[in-house]
Amino acid sequence: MAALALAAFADLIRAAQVDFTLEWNQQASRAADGEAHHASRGAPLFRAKITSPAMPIAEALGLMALVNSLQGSAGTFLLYDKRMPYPSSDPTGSTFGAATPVAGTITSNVSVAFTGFPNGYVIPLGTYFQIIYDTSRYYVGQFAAAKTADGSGAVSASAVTPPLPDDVDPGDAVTVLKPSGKFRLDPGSAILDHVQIGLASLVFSARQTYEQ
Amino acid sequence: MSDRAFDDFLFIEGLDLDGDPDSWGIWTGPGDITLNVISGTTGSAVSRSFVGGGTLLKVPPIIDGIGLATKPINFEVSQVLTATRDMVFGANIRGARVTLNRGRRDPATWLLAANPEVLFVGRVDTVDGQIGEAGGEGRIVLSCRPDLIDLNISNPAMKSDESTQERFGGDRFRRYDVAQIIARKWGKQSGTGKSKAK
Repeated sequence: MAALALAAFADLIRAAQVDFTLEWNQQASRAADGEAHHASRGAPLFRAKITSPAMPIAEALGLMALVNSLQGSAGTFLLYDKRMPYPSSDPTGSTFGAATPVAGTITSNVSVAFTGFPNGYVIPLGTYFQIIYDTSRYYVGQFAAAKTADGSGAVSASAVTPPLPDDVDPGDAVTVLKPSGKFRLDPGSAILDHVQIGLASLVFSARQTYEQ
Repeated sequence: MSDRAFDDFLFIEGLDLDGDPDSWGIWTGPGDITLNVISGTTGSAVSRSFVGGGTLLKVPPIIDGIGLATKPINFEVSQVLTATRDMVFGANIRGARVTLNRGRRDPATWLLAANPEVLFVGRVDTVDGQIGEAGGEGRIVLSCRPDLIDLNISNPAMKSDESTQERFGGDRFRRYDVAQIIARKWGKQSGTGKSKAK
């Protein structure tokens, strides 16, 4: 089942409250002196929680129908951090336009270069970006450094977080416009919260997945 | 900073339903990966492919023990994903060889620090498919025994005078064949308790 595209779901939600948190899935070894060491046991993935503003019942039920078309937690949908859909340097995405950057040299899974950005494009610290790899797997992450594309649109190796999955390759498509991950609803989390007569707000939480 | 991320790689060598050798690799990371791991039989690096994305759910602590007693190690794999369902229900993994490798990642690069080392080599003993009820959670438990089990098996095809008498009373063909439990002294001289190698 293909993931619900942005225009088919995520773009329709006017989020009032958004959590978009990276979970590291770590274990600990804790010594008697209280010193603890931690190590990851699973890939770090985002967890999202979205609350929509109160909207007319008909509109809310329409969104709920889209939620239900995901067949509970079986289906996936694309979702971006609704608080910052575009880089703060390019708040409408118009400078980026129809550029088609790609991943360049991948020095390590936390350091990657890019090519194909608009010339001189400014990428502030914390800018979200998306890489589509292995046909239809979605990586979403953030620049952990402020970068600026050079005169030919190349971005030198930049620290990124979370670490890239192992099968991201140079040449995979990148975008910073509504950079999305694939998400799956937490079971039973999607509800219509009836705020007052005739109005309801949609609440759901979801977890990221790297599946195809 | 020492290694701050671990991945587990489980490789199972069994048979397909036609009886031909088949193998499956699953790991705890996302996506599919092909990499060199240390073989449990030769100790050298071999290239193997692993399917990820929630196939391998849980790897229990691997406990070292003294003696020939074997303890079951229960690996938990997904009961939902096709990759693991095909392996368990669409093939013959009874007695299949199981190799567990653990990879370490360097936090500075998040790349695997070396070829994943072998933690466990054994055989699939029993498979318990726990399909979840509505609203519940399920798993397939692969109960495995270490390779040590090969030292503990008895030979059910033993021939002796006793077994001949059970089937063909009076037949004396195996009159002087005696079936008995033969103690295997590993590295010891029989009866002395002393080490053989001096």
